Amino acid sequence: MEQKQINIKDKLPTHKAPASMWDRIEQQLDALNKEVLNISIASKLPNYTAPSLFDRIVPPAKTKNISLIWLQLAASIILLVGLGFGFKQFKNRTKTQITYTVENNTNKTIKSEIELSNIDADFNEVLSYNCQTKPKVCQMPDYKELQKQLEDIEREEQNLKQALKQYKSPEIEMHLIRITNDKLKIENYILNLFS
Amino acid sequence: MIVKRNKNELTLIKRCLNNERLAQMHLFNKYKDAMYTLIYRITANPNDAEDALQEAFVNVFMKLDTFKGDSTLGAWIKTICVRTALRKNKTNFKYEDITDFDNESEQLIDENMTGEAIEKAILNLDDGYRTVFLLIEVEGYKHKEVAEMLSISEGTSKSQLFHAKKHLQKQLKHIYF
Repeated sequence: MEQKQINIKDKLPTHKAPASMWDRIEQQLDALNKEVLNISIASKLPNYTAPSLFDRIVPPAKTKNISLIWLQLAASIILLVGLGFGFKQFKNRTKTQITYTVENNTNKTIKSEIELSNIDADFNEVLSYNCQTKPKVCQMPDYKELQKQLEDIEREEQNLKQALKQYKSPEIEMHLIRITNDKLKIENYILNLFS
Repeated sequence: MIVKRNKNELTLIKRCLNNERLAQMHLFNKYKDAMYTLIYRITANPNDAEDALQEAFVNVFMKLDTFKGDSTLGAWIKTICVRTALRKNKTNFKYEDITDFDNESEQLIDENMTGEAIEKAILNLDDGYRTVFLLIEVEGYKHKEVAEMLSISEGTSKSQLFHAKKHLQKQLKHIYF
């Protein structure tokens, strides 16, 4: 009887790459790019040969002593002036009074302005506002891909938060910090699409 | 060999070459799970697999300008991932004479076996057997290509595969019969 050929690859399970992996790769790429940039700048700059001026660099011993005396004198003067100023400030301090008043703000329109400019404004609110004003951006493949990434990362963040409640392990905590950083990066990428 | 490439892939490569982070992230997201799965199976260790995946993709982005397009981008990335994973393994191959090729045509798996059980049996194989088995039977490489990748002879590659299959059959029989 002829046996049905089974493709082993189709049978095997697939595994998901860790969510924080992109962050690690990006950090390494940044470091490498910086290194390359430094090397290329350094190689482009001209090199000079130092002139032989050793005698001029090391002055005779006598001159050195005189300049040292002047330096000591200058330091003493600065110290005296400083002490005098400090004493004067101390005397004035007793005369100083601090007053403060409370002012009520009755202008309601300021509240909405603050809400718009508040840097802690909810990301989703900002995003829905941006999608209303620039709907084309929200149809872009880049936007959709980033949204998908954000959903995945938020799911993982929730799972980690749950796990942290149960186990309180520092490793989970570290992982959660990484994930949150990744999430902020992706949110930043999304917001940059609108600029 | 001329490989047909779609416009989106070409644009993505160009953007990656311009060091656009977003494009690089898209490229990574496109292949990350498949490559992680491949690397994990070769290294049989999640920590090594993570390190190798990171190293491989950093290499992909740093060497993308050398991609000539004589294979698909996926195949090119896969080769980098395989080579990186192999460096983690540091496998030593021992040549063993093959006297019996009858098992070559024998069915290794059947429909009743679960993927998890098959994978567990594969991961239990010795590094050398597992690597050759995965590259040939799962990833579809030829003995010649595997021999070149692992710096071994084609004969060694064949003998490793033969023994890998024998060991695998033994393990799966133990589980299922």
